[in-house]
Amino acid sequence: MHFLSSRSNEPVKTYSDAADIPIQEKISKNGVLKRVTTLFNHRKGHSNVSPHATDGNAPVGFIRDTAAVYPRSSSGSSTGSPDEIRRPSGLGRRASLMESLQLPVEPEASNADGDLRTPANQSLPLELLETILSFLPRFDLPRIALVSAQFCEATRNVVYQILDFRTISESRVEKLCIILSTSVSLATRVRSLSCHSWPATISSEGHLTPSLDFTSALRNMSNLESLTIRSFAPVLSQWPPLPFQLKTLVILDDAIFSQQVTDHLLSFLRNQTSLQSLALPNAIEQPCSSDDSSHQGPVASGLAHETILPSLSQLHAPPQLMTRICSLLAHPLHTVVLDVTTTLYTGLRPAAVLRAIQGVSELDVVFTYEVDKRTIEKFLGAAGGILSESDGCNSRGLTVLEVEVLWMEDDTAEILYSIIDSIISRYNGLHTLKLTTPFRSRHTQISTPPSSVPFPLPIPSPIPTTPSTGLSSMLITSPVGGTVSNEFVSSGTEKAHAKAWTQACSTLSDIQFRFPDPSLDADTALCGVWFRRKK
Amino acid sequence: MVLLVTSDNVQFQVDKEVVERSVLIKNMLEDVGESDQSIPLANVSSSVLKKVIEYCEHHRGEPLPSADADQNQDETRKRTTDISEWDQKFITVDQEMLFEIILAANYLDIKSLLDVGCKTVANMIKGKTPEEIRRLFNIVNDFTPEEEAQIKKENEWAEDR
Repeated sequence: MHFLSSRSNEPVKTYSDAADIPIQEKISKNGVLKRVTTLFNHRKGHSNVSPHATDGNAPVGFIRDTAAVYPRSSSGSSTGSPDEIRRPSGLGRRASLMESLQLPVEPEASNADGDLRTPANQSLPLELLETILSFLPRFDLPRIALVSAQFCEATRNVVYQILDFRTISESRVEKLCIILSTSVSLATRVRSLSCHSWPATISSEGHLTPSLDFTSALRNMSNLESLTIRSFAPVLSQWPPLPFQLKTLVILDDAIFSQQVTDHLLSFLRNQTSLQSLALPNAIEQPCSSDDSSHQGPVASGLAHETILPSLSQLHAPPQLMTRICSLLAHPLHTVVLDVTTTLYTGLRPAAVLRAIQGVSELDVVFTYEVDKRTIEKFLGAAGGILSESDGCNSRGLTVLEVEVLWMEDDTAEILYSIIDSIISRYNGLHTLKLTTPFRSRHTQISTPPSSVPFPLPIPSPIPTTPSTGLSSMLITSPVGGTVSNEFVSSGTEKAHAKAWTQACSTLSDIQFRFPDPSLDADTALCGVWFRRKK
Repeated sequence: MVLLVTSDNVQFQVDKEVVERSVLIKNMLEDVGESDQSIPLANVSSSVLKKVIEYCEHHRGEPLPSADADQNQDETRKRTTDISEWDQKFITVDQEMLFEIILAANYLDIKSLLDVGCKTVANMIKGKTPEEIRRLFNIVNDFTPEEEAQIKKENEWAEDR
């Protein structure tokens, strides 16, 4: 038995290492190869598409819940000792304990309380027992299953509902697959499955194929709704088709775009009529493969005229695959995540891709390090023209635009800002703009006049400031150390751009700048700035 | 102010802001609109409702969890059994009351209170042997030795720490 392992072709992924720490700790504790998880984490900023593929990308020290940070002050309602509250015995005490309560209308009734319930009447419904057990770590549950039939049933529902092979050691995964392949009743409880690797055998041709147990386990999971899978072809292209109707599918293949595999994928998708979210975060397309013949060429003949995926609302794929899938949809998507790895000179055709996704409300474009400034400018300019709401036809327009640029040059942020300067006026109807660059350049940090309000740091939660510009802003920092210089946190450049953009685009009211890889030489790293148009 | 009537026919007059921490009541009030009508709570007794209101009073004004809360966040929330100091003191009640509070929180749809109750029970169960759990909750072992052996085998893979 071998476990599939894989290489990463994408150097960009290593940038996200800093955010992976919690996952890695969890994994190594469970004995699963650390390397595998690190590599399979795809790029940041796609959490709106595929919660299962983005676990590792939780922003470090991002926005926090204020309630979790500040100790809450007592509300002032008087609270007697628990004992007093539990046993109300008279009018006076009840009234004094609960100031805002009216006096009981029938005081006699409260005295009868103790008789209404007997200790025997204590069993909780199964659903609540499951809620209780879901708070316990998994290793506690096998023991709890032995308490009684009801506990066993609840435990099974909790343990088998969500399975993630990354949290289970390899030998245990094999055991689990055997159990699931023999017990339909357990396998049908599985709603969500993440297999970044799986038990495999080497076939006679030397390919790694999934083990028989794993395959029959999948065949038994008729209620599976969410699947994250390392590789599409060996598992999902089987015949007869697997029994589940997925809502979420993440395919982690990093070389999916052979014509044959695409056809297999599309014919698999044809039967997935409930699918709402599809992501191929690692799929790579060969540059220049787009000589026009390959597009209209030997497409799976039966698929050409029918529409597929009636429920799909979120799609994450590279441009050519995006175009291909969208051409088979009968409705516009809600959210699109597009990884652009090619340029105008190596086969990217912005207008074709953008027309394919016309009608989308939220667009998240990731430009990898190969993509040049000119391509980005052209692409975003075309997007403004094609995707914005037009009064003529009845289509919805783009309301949220996210742009992520992965260059590591010192002035990446400034270059992106100047691109936005020149194209933002085309985005009629845009409400939210999120820009992500790896970090702010040192140049920006120093040249910004240290004029702004001194921020009390460390900042445990976003602090609204600067009421003078018609925009309110928040700094989002990761409080690594205790102090930080004003120069560093002041964000005059961003503020000036944000102001200009809201003037150029009248609907724009929410602008977020994010820097997921802030430089490490500062005590406190600036992770982001957030501007909102004041009402 | 909103008038609530419990299963044992006791009336409680409570601030709208406080009582709206219950999603059930909030939705009810939205459906009914402005009205002096009392709201009957057939599944909650006065002693339990009193505790529930005490909880809602204390947490008045805190943000309610949004319906479309991030799933990942939900997962991490679930893996911790930490309870804040006030909540811990609040939930230090006898077992019968604890279960009643959980049932009421579930019925009234007050997620944070349901979590506090469930975490408390989870903490009681944590690390105990099956026999200790049975004694704790007065549960009868209804397994044959064969069934027990089978369940042990079935869940073996999950014993990893």
